Amino acid sequence: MNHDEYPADSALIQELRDSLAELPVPGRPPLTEITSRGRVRRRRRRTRLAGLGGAGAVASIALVLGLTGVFGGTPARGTQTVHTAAFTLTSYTNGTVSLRLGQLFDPAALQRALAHAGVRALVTNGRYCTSSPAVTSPAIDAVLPGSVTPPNGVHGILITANFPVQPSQLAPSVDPEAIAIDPAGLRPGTELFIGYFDLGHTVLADLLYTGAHTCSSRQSPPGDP
Amino acid sequence: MGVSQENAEFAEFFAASWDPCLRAVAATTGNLTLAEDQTAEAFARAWACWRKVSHHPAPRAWVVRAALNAGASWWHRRSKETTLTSQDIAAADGLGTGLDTALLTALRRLPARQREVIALRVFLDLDIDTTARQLGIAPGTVRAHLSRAMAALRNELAPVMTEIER
Repeated sequence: MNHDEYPADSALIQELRDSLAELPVPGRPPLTEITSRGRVRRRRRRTRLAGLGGAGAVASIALVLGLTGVFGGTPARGTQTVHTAAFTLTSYTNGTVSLRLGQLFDPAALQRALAHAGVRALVTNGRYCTSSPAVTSPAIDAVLPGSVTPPNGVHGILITANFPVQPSQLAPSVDPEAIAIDPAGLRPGTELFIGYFDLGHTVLADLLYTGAHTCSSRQSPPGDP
Repeated sequence: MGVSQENAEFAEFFAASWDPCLRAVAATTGNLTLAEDQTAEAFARAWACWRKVSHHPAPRAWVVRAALNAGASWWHRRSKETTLTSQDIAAADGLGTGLDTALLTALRRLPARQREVIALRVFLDLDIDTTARQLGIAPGTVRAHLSRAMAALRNELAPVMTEIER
């Protein structure tokens, strides 16, 4: 036992270790499979590094201008990308925004980035927010073109990690792996709601009436166990 | 060091570390299929920069962290899966029953950072300071996360452990 832990934890830690040691896991893949994937990664990295030679001057100018931090990664022409460990937010020249989430979730940073991209939003972790009456589906679709109504009986739930956006529902220019957002569709008095829920790592995107919503703590979105 | 010696070193590391790393990632993500893919990707990354990883103070922790961070398209892959309830997560992946199932379910309920601390401190047996360095947080924060996680797990697992002890 480590002195940093409480004595009562040592038995549980050992139970956890024993239990994990007994978990049956598949055998390791062939080493050649790993090295092949590694070679691909190595080639990509070298290509990127080669490209950085030309991009270095541009990056330096960006730094001088104070465009440091999360802005100005390697966006496609005419787009602006905010990239953090928690999310990637891309603003396209047509005004739309796509949000791709990582495994971490940083509500404050995401809310700031969305505001910078012109999206009024309330981003929460472990809290479900809804307004009464709920924002209607057409208004939601205008902002979240990939919206679907999952079979959990809660009006207005649109997108979670478990209820995927169908690529066919998105504009061709929109990344099918991301949540598509159109700020132009955001009507006055409404804002986007994005909530992360630990149980099932679910993210819910919805619309709220600003200042007319209530929030409650939850480990999962409504309808989940 | 020659290339062949590096390859031999990596092969040895891979053979010895695959199981513990996969188990730590599986316990942290709660999904063996996903963990297998992410762990393989992490080992591929380790191979691609083996000169750096081989000098890392805790190469297995590097792999586990890389696996947990390998989720650029994680949400997309996740979205293709059906919703897993807390009851069927282990059964769906064939991870056994009893305490195994309860353990994975309880771990899955923990916040992400607490799961990472558990993975490194408990499953990879790193000390507090090394765990803190790996996660880029203060040792005191690791202790706090660990304490909260253990308290939560005690509550979740107590009925199961009592039943098994009978």
